[in-house]
Amino acid sequence: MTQYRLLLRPEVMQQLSALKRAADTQQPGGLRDREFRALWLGLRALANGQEESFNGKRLGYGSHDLSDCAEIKLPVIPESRGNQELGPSHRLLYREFEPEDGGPPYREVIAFEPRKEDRPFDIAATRLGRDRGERHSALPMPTPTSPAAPTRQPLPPDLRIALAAASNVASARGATTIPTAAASHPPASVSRNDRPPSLTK
Amino acid sequence: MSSETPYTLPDGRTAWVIATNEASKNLANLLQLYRASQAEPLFFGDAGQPEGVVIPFEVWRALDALATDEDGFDSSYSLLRHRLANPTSSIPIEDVAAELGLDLEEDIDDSDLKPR
Repeated sequence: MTQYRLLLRPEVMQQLSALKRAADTQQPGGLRDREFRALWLGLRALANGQEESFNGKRLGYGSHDLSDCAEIKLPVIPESRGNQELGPSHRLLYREFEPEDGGPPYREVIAFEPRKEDRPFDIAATRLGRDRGERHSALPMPTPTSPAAPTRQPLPPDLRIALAAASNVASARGATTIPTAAASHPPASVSRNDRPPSLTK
Repeated sequence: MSSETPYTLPDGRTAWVIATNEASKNLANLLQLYRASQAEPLFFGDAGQPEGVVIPFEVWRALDALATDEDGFDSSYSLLRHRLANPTSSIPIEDVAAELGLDLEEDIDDSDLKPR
């Protein structure tokens, strides 16, 4: 089974944080609790390459060009029309990038939303800066025989820079051990260069 | 004359403290810096003693969520500063899990969420 390095859009991280807080204070089985568990389940599925087990499929271009993205489907709440079940209620949208360091490929999670009124696709397009009706890539429309995973793209420059920056930050971890006493003055930890805040006066 | 006073912390580092009356005059400028993603804190107080600190609201919110995780505070604060400077950057799941206190290996009850 292919493993992937998972990256979350900041909006998805904020959503996960908000859902976790809500789930912690809500009765088990409530909407936010179910959404939190479904999102976490979906993230794991993407990291473990289990998209086919979650009805995954590539996306194309309709109102917005999302042909470099794919979705998996997550049944958060049961929905029906009359006696007919409508299937999984939520969509988790993502795209995939080539690694440049010999490691596993990347998957960037873009949106987790209820499917109603094409909300997942509108949200994803907004976050990716895709205008309505504008073609973003020359990727073909998916067919019923297309793989469930998105077409893997070269790592975009902005993500390469962000990963390098995050790596630099991460490598500094553990370099400074904050004593418990110092930890009670957390904001002071940014004055490690012994420089005052650079206020414009 | 500078209204900034060095204050030595127990671990030897220095916090520069601005007099309270001066700090209030700098709030508008500070906000401009925060809007430019320069998320430096402003320490202020009387008689050179650090009695208060001004930080971006989003940093406060994140710190509040991390208040019980003192051991990870320094790296988390560095990461938050990086994120504020790069608000559209995606974040590795390991960092997300660490910041939110989630265990990537922990089993979750997905018995009612499995695809049919």
